[in-house]
Amino acid sequence: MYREILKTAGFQVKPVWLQSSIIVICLSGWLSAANAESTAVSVTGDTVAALSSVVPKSVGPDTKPKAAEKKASGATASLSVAHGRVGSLQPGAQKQAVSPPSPQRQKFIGVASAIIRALGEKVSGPFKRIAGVKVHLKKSCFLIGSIVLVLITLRFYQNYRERGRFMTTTRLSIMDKEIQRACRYIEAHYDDPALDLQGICSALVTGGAFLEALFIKELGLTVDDFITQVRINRAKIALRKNPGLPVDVLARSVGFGDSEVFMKRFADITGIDCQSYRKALAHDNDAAA
Amino acid sequence: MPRLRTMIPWGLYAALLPAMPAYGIEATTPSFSSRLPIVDTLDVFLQAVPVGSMIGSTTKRGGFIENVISLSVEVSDQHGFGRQHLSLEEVRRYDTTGALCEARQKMHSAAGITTWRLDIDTSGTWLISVTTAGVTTSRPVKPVPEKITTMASLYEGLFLNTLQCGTSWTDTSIELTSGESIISETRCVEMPSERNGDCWVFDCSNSLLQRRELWKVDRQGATVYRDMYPYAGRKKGTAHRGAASDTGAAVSLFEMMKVKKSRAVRPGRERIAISFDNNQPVDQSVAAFFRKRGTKFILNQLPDRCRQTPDTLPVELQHACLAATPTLQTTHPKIRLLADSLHGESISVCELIGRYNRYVYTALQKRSSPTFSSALETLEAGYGDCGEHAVLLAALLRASGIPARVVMGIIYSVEGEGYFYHAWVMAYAGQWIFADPSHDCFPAYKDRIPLIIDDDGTKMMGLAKIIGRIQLHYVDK
Repeated sequence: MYREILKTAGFQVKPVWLQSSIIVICLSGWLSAANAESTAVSVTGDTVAALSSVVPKSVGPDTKPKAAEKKASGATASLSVAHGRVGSLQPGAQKQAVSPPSPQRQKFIGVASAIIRALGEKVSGPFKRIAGVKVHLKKSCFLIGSIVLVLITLRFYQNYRERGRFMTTTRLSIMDKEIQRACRYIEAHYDDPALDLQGICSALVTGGAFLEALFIKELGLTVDDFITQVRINRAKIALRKNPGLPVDVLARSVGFGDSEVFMKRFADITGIDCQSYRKALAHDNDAAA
Repeated sequence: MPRLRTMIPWGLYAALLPAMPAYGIEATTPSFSSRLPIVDTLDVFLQAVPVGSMIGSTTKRGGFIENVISLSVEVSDQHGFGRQHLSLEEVRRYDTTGALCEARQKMHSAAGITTWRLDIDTSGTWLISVTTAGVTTSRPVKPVPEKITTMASLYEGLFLNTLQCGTSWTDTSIELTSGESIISETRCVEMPSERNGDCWVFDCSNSLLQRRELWKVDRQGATVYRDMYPYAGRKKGTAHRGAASDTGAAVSLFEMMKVKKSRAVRPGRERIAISFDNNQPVDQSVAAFFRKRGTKFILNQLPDRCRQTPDTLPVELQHACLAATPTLQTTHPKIRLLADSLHGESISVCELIGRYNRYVYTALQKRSSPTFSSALETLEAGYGDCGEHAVLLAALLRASGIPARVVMGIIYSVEGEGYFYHAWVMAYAGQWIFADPSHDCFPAYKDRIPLIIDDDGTKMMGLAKIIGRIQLHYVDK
């Protein structure tokens, strides 16, 4: 189901993202489950009213700044409401709410229920009288909210990935062993102008078509594209160290035989041409000095 | 009491079988023989996505050596309708001298089971029988000197660590669907070392695929990696953990095989030319449709209108194009009856082809079927993909005296942005004219490139030489 939702939202779905995002949601739900046990129950119709009496005590004038601070934790709790505690609509759940929470919890519950109430009033105003519907609306509200959160996180992650640092240690560790070896080999031999798929395959003793397909599947790049990415990244690092490096020396040092090809690839991948990048770096260095 | 008489000796015989050694093999390759069974369990990948598994085993069974390969894959079908499960089981049995004495191949798919069986009788006649949907047809084939001794000597050297780099083995084996012999060469290219993960590395190629394929075997004789175009096999469990959760349902074999082209040819202004990455010529059966220019083969203009012209077809070819084959049962009463009922009176050949074409298009349900069926089966099942449509039309045409052949080739799809593998029919009305019953298209002269002509389902393997190697060019007139 997630795949479809993400696909309609225009994301290129990768199983790794899915897994990690689901793990994050589950973890946050699980971690805050202890805190949220009573808040979760508070969502059921009658108990909202019962808990609302606690609110004036805890959200006093002196605790207001703290309430703002706690908003963030309230959001995590609400996440757990949506994901971890969907089953709380059972009649038995109301009994749990009757047992008085500890003073520390009360404060927390107060803030959380205030947020919940605020949300509830905004969204489910017309359905106030029908407790069941009200609860459903809130739940769906949280669910949609959390999905949006996940989408934002994914989008952020995607942007982050696209900005160049595509090869992190964590990423490498979850990849297929074959592709790990190939990536390491490329990282080690990027300065060889003759580096290509054929060479990598004969060095690693593996099938060419298979390796190429593996790269496209795992990284979304062909082997040649990946090699170019690595080379340009290396060029950027070299430039950061020494902004005055001549282009042809730089191009040769990262495995480009032709400096014009290098300039073109650099502009393609980084979005700005090599000279501008160099100037921007020099400017930054001056500013730092 | 015939039943009793046969039962007792057979029971005894069966009980004794495991104890009988394969003498010839035992004597020549004792190390190989003592290590049997050798079992390979592989994960199968298509475009690096795990799609299934394969088990290959060589065992000693009752004085014979039995080589079993069972492959099971699941891929999405050509129209993206869902998963297609395909499984293939091949058993080859070798006698005490290491020579092939029996072989069978079974293909299971959503459409049913097809079995090929090779029997060698005492007089040395080789017979291949094909069973599709309960109907068996047999034909004699030329004997092929297939032996297991090469494989045995390879493993022998591997186990004893006596293999040398550059040693090569040439092997002949029989391809069961066509009955043709395949010559394969295996060459040892690397000794075990740290670089290759302590594996023996072999370079394999065969006359059917004409591709160089890599094969990595560890010191125990278990395959670690093997190219099996279009698949790749890796030792079970060596892929990363994410692999198990992926399924091959998203991978389409047809999508993978397509020849990418962003637009169709502009008729009247351009011509289609094909070439192959290994510069091989086009198949002999379709050579008349092309003319050669350098390494390219330019497709001739196909007739866009059916006009009956005087018959110029050579007599032998005419006979061949009217005969009944295992897949085109033109003499079967059902086919005859249908052909006659559609025939009508005083109708021209062109009109008749069009009428049959329309009939097949409307009568059959469009559903994919991974095995190839015969005309009779298609008529009974009432459904099929391009292959079934073509087979039925060709059988109907032949039954009413019009020479017809089944053409396999590629067709342009606008949505797919490329050329996809397809089958249709060519019928003779003074000249060869294409009719495409799965698209209700007659004459079909646009966007189709014939690659092979296959009247009896035996030339299918000819496509293996072509798939993945074909390059298309649009040439200005």
